[in-house]
Amino acid sequence: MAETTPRPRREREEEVLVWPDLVFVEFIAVMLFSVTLLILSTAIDAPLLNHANPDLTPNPSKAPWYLLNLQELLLHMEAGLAGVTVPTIALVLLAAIPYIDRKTDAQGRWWGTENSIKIALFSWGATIVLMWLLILFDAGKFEPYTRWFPGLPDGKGLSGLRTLQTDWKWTLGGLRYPNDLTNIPAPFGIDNINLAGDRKVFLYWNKGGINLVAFMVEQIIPMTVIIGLSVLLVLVQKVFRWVHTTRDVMIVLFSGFMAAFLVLTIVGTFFRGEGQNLVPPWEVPIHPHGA
Amino acid sequence: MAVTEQPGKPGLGERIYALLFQNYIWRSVFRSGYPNTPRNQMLVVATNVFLHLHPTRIHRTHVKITHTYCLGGLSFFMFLGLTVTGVLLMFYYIPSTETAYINMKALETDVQFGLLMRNMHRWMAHAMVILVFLHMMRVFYTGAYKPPREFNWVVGVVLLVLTILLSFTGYLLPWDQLSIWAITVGSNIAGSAPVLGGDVKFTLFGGFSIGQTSLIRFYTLHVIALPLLAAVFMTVHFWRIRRDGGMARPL
Ligand code: HEM
Repeated sequence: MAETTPRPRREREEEVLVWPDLVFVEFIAVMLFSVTLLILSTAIDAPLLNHANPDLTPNPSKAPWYLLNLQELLLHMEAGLAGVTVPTIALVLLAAIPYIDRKTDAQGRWWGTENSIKIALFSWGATIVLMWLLILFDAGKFEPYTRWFPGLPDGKGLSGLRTLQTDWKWTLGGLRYPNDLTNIPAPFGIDNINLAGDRKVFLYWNKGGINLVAFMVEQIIPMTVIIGLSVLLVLVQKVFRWVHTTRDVMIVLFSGFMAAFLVLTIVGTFFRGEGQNLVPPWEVPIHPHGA
Repeated sequence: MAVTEQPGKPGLGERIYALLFQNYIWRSVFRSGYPNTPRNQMLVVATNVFLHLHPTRIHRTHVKITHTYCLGGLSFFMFLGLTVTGVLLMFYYIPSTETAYINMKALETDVQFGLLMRNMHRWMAHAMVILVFLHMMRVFYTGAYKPPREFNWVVGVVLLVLTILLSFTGYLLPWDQLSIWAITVGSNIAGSAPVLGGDVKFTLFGGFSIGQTSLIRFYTLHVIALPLLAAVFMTVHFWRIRRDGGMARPL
């Protein structure tokens, strides 16, 4: 432990007294916040809608804003994956950052590595653009431009990832998609792992067999996109010769994560109207019908 | 013989000062003298339990506002403010589906400054969530999680989760359409967990759907269990900052 050796004299001279220097700054910060919050609280009242009514569901129904990122993710993939698995993995990885990036270089000052500002800006920017593209795609906004996609009914394009499950049809040799893949008998007739209380371990494994199509569309492809884009974001910046150290890789991934989190929260809050449809902010009801 | 300076007679100001700050009772409360000399300035920090969260001296760069933007300190200040306004709100709130909503309405009409208390509590709660996220980003971008501060970063992640849970559990208490449906949606998200989802939701609600059993669970978590846990983790967080040699600095 380096901390047990006494600080060299020169460092002492770089130090200031907590009282008054720090306590003063803290006092100002606290006053600023107190006054701002007091003004805010006299100006804007906390909402109180009608008495709770479990029989009347508001449309749209939304979670508190800091969970709307998950509620947004939920629209694009299987609920358990979006609502629990992905956030759990994200939190564990977040907590693991200092155990992955253990070098003590570049610590204790803003940015720290040679290209860190560039890397952070690029990662934030690219992620914001990519997230929007994915969300627009899943809302069917690119349908008119994807009518060339083979295997879809005439004049129809991709109106989101789930089109691959609902409208996509082709045959290859003797294989007919999707019908041949929605009920694949498990080898040797093994069954899903069924726990007490009718709980299945694998979602798309029913009595008859495995629904490979749903499994692909709801779980495999979304996971591949998340992991793939994260890796891509690092690789691209390696090609640029910006990313050199583990710290740089962490900056890419943390920035990308925070940017994705922010976009999802904003879209969930300001761009989801009735029926969770993607609409401009002014069409999102503040007091939805039923509230 | 060398000329020694003779102290003059103390003026009126000094006599009042002595009367106020050097009397027996004052000195029994505050051990250090008025912090107008470096010695007393250090003593005032070291002998006061609240100020003692700080070291007595700190590196020049760390008092620069742009190093921390005070974000961690402000998160803590929100926590304190929420405790004060929260205790005041508790005087008027009964966690029953029959009365909760009426109690909230009464804050607007029957209680002096009741609405102000509620508004402060709500906006501080939102502010705290935002501040904790920003604090995490400041810690990350200053590379302050690196050894020996790995564990304090983990403590921080726990605090982040606790902050969100505190806000989430409080959201149900007004028992209006906004609160029960937001909590229903939120709990359904948790309820979609693979394998254990159903149990998680049942445990949160204390039953299959939202009702009195859920309200008392959320209330208990919100006013006592989670604040205590958060206080414990904050204690560890602050203690570790000191133990890890103060805030991170370039080597
Ligand atoms: C309720 C939540 C939290 C409170 C009240 C809190 C409070 C504080 C305070 C007062 C500081 C001193 C420096 C500063 O003000 O920036 C600090 C430092 C620190 N915090 Fe937090 N924090 C919280 C959440 C977090 C989170 C979410 C993380 C990270 C995931 C984190 C990681 C750290 C680390 C590593 C330091 C040391 C920074 C350094 O050495 O420069 N904290 N915290």
